[in-house]
Amino acid sequence: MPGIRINIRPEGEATTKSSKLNKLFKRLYREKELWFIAAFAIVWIAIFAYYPMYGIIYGFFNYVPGKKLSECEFVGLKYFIEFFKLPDVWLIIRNTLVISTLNLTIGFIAPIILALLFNELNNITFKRIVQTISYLPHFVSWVVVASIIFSMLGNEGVVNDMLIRFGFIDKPIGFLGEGKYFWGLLTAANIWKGVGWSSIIYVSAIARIDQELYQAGAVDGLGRLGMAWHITLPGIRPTILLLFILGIGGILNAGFEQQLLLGSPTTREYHEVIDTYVYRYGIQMGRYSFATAVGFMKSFIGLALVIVTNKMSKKLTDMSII
Amino acid sequence: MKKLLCIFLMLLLLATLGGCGGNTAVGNSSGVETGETGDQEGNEEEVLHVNEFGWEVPKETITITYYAGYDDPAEAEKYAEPMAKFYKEKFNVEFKKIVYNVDMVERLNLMLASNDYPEVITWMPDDMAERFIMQGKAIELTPYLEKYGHNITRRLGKYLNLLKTDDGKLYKLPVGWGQNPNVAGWDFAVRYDLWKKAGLPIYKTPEEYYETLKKLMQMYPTNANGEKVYALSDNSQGANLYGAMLGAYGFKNGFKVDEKTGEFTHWINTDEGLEIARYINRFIREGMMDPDFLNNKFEDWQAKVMNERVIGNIGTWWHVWVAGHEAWGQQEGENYNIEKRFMNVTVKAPGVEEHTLLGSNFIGTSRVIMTDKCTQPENVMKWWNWECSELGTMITAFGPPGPENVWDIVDGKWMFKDSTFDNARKNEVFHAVVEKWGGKAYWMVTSGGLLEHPNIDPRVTRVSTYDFWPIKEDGSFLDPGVNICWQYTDGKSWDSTLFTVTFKPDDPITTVKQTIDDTLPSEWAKIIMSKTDAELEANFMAAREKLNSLGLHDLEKFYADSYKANVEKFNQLCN
Repeated sequence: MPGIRINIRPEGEATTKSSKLNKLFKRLYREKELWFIAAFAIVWIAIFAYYPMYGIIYGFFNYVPGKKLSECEFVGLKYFIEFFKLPDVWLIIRNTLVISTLNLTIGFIAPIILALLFNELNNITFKRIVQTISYLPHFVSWVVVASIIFSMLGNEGVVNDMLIRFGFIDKPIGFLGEGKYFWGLLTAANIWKGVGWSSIIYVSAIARIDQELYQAGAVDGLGRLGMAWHITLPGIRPTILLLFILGIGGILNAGFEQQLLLGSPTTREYHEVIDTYVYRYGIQMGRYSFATAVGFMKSFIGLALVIVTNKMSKKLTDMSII
Repeated sequence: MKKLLCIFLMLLLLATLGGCGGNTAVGNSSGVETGETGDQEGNEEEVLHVNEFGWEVPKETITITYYAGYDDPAEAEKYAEPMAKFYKEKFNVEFKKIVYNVDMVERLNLMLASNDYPEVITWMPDDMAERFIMQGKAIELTPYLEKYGHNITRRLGKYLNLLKTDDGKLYKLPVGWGQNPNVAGWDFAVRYDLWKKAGLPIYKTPEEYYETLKKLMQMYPTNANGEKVYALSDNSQGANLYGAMLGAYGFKNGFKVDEKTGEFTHWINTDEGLEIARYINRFIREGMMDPDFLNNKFEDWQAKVMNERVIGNIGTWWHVWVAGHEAWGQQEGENYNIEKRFMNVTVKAPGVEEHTLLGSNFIGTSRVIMTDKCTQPENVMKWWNWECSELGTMITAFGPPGPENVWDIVDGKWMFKDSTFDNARKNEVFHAVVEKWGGKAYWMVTSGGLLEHPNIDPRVTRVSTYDFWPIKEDGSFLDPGVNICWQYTDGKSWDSTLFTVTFKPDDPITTVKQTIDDTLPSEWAKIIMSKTDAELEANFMAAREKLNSLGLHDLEKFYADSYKANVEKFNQLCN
């Protein structure tokens, strides 16, 4: 039949594909118990994590609550561009990146150090008590944390009072009122609140390290520091990498409640981050398209960073999460 | 003879029927002429009778579902119980009031997005009402208002015009409207006992106020616990400080208004703005301001006031009222000295003709609409109309009248109970109205402002949905403490109604306003925290430049245009 091209699949290719499918089904059947257990989680993720993603489309329309999407004007990348045209956009991005980076560096290392310190405690009862105490701040709400910070660091707070009494300063330092202290204050508060909780995963990773390695290390003359450096840290390296790569994905999530509760007009130039800004200009003003666009952009950048970091990790350390 | 008798009886019957069809204005034992002049056709079938409160009790229960904004749902239901019972029994009306403890604007947007909202929405911001109207989700009220809403038209009068669309349609009504019943607004307060003891003259200008506070601070540098005393503090991140100062300088809603040219100038673009900044900065630089004033939450500030660490206030009157003598009165009980309180004083900058410390926006900023889900607009309007009657307002505000409640109807007069005149129990009464009697539980549309009616107890004044003030025969307040507080407050308010501005969500000017609102507090903080005069001026000019670059001039023009449009609408539709 002239003019008509018929694609005839080579027999060999069809056979290969069918055998691959067969293999897959066989594997599924073999692992049926595992898939059954995982099914609930997969369904949950599909419903609550993937299904809502259709909402991303709202970021490309001038969506007015109450109207059907089909009645709303398609605006393409308008809201993405609008975000970068905002008067304080670079200030907001700077604050977000600085706060995130501080959390991802100092805030990331702190629980590892704490886990290493826990590992050095020999008295099991004492170790458990200290660990439990360290988890407690995680359960304290930011509202309470903020009021503790205010009473500690206010002009008439405990810290200023002590500094004046010991003669270090003549008049109180405005820890809460001066922007230059805000990033440090926030990082310290984040660490205090999360260090114990975040250390759990490292403590459990340390517990899985073969004890014989420590015995061998002792025979080779390693001290406590040497063991931590040469045995414990390499032992938990995959966990550290995994959490770091995942943490990179959240680099544009610099916090929300903390900024709202601890910030004041004098610190605005240091505390305003993408999330607080989008909350006011997107959610509170009913500009859902703008909020969606910025949220999508944040997630997209986060995902891209995770992929890049993962690739780098694979190249440099031969370890990756994907 | 029989024929004559028959004709006579027929004529008598006709005359009787004719008499029935005459004036149907309704009178009742409560002494209120509710004047139900609406459509009476077929009413006999639907209405049982007119109750003593002027409401035509329907045969079938009317149920109105409405969303009323932010509140604790469980608490709201609990407090509403007495009113719910009263309205069911006496009015045959039931309410399904919906409240959520989340921000109303957020919730309304979600309602719009999900198309799930009730038949009536009240206490919504004007811009949200506009959003519903723009999308055809609010119904036109004019036909129902004309038929059933005479109390609303009577009491709102020409102000209704401001709520109409350009083509004269009406979709929204105000709620909590009316003339401001307060004596004081923005405030320059001082601790009265300390001021009196010092024998200082009364201050009338900001400068004199500064001098007064300075002298008092020198006389009382510490409180009884040895803690430092400050002239001023704040809990509004500095906003109250310029808010009150702008009132003393005669600014209107933060703008200098040139009535001749119709020009609006934001205070940051004026010399007065710089003067105000210098004035506040002096308190800070001289150590007269609480150093935590930008970080204080209300509770922190209240604790300082209660611990007698603050002797003045530039802000609003009720702040020092609540944190001052009300708190001390409760704390100290019988030992409380009536003179230990803040005195609110009217202060005016030199050369300023009229201060604007006390504003009165007749239509306010909260609205009520009937949505397109409303299947009984007639019933809702009838209810709204009853609620807007003066007696309806009284019941809405203070709960069912009766010997147990704080008020009752006695010989047609709306009398407050003698016990409510006990100054010491004022706060208790105030809370009991809400918590025990369901006052304000079902407040959908009526006024929140000054309520005037010949039936109101003559022993009180400035009655509103929120409050009432017992007075003596000479017109002074019964509570001598209140007379102390307001002896130097002139109580003059300016009508800010025509300055009402609606910011529509999709309008770019709304984003400009938000940006200015966000930036101004941090710039203001930077200005007033300056360490030298030169630094202050530089910071002020930098703030001016920054805010103008963010679109402040556009905002000024928008305010001016809105005012002009309001004036035109107000006048045109009135003629």
